[in-house]
Amino acid sequence: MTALPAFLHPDHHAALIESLSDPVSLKHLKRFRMDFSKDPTQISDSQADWLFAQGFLPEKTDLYDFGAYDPALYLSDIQRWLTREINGAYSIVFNNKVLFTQVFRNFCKVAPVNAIWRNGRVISYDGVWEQCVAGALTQPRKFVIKPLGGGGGGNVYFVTVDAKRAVIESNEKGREQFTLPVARLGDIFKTAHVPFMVNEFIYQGAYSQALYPRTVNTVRMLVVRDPETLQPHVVRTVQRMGTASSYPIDNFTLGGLSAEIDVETGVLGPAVAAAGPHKGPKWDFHPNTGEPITGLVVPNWPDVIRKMKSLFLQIPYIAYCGFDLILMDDDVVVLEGNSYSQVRLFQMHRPLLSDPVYVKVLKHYGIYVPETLNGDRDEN
Amino acid sequence: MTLFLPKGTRPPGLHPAAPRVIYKTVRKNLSHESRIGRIDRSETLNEFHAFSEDFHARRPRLDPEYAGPLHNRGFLPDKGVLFDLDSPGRADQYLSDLQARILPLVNGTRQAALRNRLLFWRLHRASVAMAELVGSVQGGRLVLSGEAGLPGPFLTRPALTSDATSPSCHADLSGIDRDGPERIILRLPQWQAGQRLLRVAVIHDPGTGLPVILGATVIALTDTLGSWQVDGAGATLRVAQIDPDTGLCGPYGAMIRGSLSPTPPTEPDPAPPVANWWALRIALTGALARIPLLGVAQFDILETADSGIVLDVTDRLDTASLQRHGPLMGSDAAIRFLKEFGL
Repeated sequence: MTALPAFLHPDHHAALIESLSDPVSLKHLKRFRMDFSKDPTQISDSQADWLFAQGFLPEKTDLYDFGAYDPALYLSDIQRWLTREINGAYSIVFNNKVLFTQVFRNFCKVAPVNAIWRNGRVISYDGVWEQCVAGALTQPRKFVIKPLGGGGGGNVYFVTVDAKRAVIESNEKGREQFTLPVARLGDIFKTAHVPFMVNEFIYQGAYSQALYPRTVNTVRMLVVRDPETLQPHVVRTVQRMGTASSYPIDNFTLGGLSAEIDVETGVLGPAVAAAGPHKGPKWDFHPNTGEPITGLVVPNWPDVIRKMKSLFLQIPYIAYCGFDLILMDDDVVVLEGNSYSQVRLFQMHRPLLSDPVYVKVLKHYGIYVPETLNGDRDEN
Repeated sequence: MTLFLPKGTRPPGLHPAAPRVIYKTVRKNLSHESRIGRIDRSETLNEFHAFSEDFHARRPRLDPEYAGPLHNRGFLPDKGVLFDLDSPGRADQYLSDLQARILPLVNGTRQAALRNRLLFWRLHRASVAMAELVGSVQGGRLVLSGEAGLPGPFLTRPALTSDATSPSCHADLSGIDRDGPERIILRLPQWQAGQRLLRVAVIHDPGTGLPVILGATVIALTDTLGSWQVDGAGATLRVAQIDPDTGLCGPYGAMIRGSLSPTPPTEPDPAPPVANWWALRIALTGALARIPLLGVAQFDILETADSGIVLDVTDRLDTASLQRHGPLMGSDAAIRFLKEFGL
């Protein structure tokens, strides 16, 4: 087992839970305990007691390597929920995708918003939706329609529209692929219960396309602000890849793959899956296409890192973000930001708390408690 | 007497300090799941976490298929079988274990009297027909408030309702252990074979401002001293539901506290009706109407030939014995109460 670094206290998980007392933190703990209770992973009584006390969901016994890495090195599930509070009031910039686009388009390339669907009607931003419905397109266009808020994939629709009809592919059960006459384009939303956003489809570069051609394969980059230096720090990056089971998206929760990208070199490690038929092994080659994964180098990687750090510096009120990036041949599109990024896709490779700057950030926001259970303070 | 108050009028009997809203409740949605989702204040969140820790400490552990729905509705593991909560929609009619923890908050600043038996007895023995308080055990000593040579039997129970130590019965004072936590000593009437305990849950009806019996059960006691172990873990009880309007009883049904085993079937014949139920009911509700005390309370009453003797009062309703034969929270008064206090 990897030894615990000196800056980490071995009992910090239990100490954190004992320390929670404000309503916001207790609500997150409530959410954790409710998720814990319905987690279907079969575990022993002693495992259940330990996981409950440390703040990990039972599924983590399957997903994390507690045998190879000290559990204290992992960000727990309750800690992950608490990261939701790091950005404070500015979290809304990430939680609302339209607001995210409107703010970030001033600083980087984003996917333009064409329209919003809300309460039974489409609100067009640029007139393109009306052109589609009127059959006035002179050439086909492609859009992505997804929920305005929240993460975890949800129902996502890829829509290719020409002058007469629209072909829609989605991950919605029962509506995986269907066509509509353009005049009835709004029928896409007939099962919708939440607001949706219509974005211009972004065509990924050759490197990303080769990973799995049937999906847009995004990079998730976790960036934090060092509370002492105020400088951006890239904690971890992964390359997500779609699979036949996650199609038409690359979402990790829905069966996609995640391969760690070395922050310094841009070299990919093997890929893993958290769900679906590819869960279990480490994949050096894509299980559906056979294309190599391990050892691939992300083109222009130093430029990608530099651009994302520069972006972070231009938005001083943000301290924590998991950015979703589409890598084009010569540029980066920032698809969205996640203010409390899911961390399984990182930690299935290596635990996050091996990074001392990341631990410093967590400590600054009260998410890492360097105390023993009897109250002795660890000065690290 | 006015039975119904104009809309918006605060009932006169309700203590002004009783909180109006415990947590936000959407009035059209009284499901347990949505209630728990809206718990957002420190004191109710702390109760949730105490409940959750209790749930997850229980053994044997439930399979997640059953644990999730029970925990996330606020029921401890044994209630799934005891209340037969598999049927859709059934759970929402029952008072959950989490609700039983939170309900005492409606008593506001009066919680102190309901959580300290010594205080309650001293404050209200003139108003409510309670067993005689003859003294207490404090600091290793027997502190008597009256004559030393009174005949028993005597019942001792912890002074604080938060102390889960079971009560004990003694033929005389010499048998009472001087060590341990602070306890009150009550003098019981002479024991009779087949004596029964009535457990009565009372709420203040927000519509009328008057105390209302939410539910009542009768618990059969064994015929020997020391039969007071009705609330300890693993205790076996034989309970029957009392019709609050008539005092007639349904059949007895057995239950084992905390057990995950199938609930035994109810007996074929109805239990004997409560002697002088109306006299008891009038005495109890009449006394409570004069005390600006309550949002909710549970009384344990020894059934006697006249109107019964109160042996215990607590603000924590016993969801198991009170609901062994059916849910508590389906009546109009209960629903008004839940809506009024945002529970």
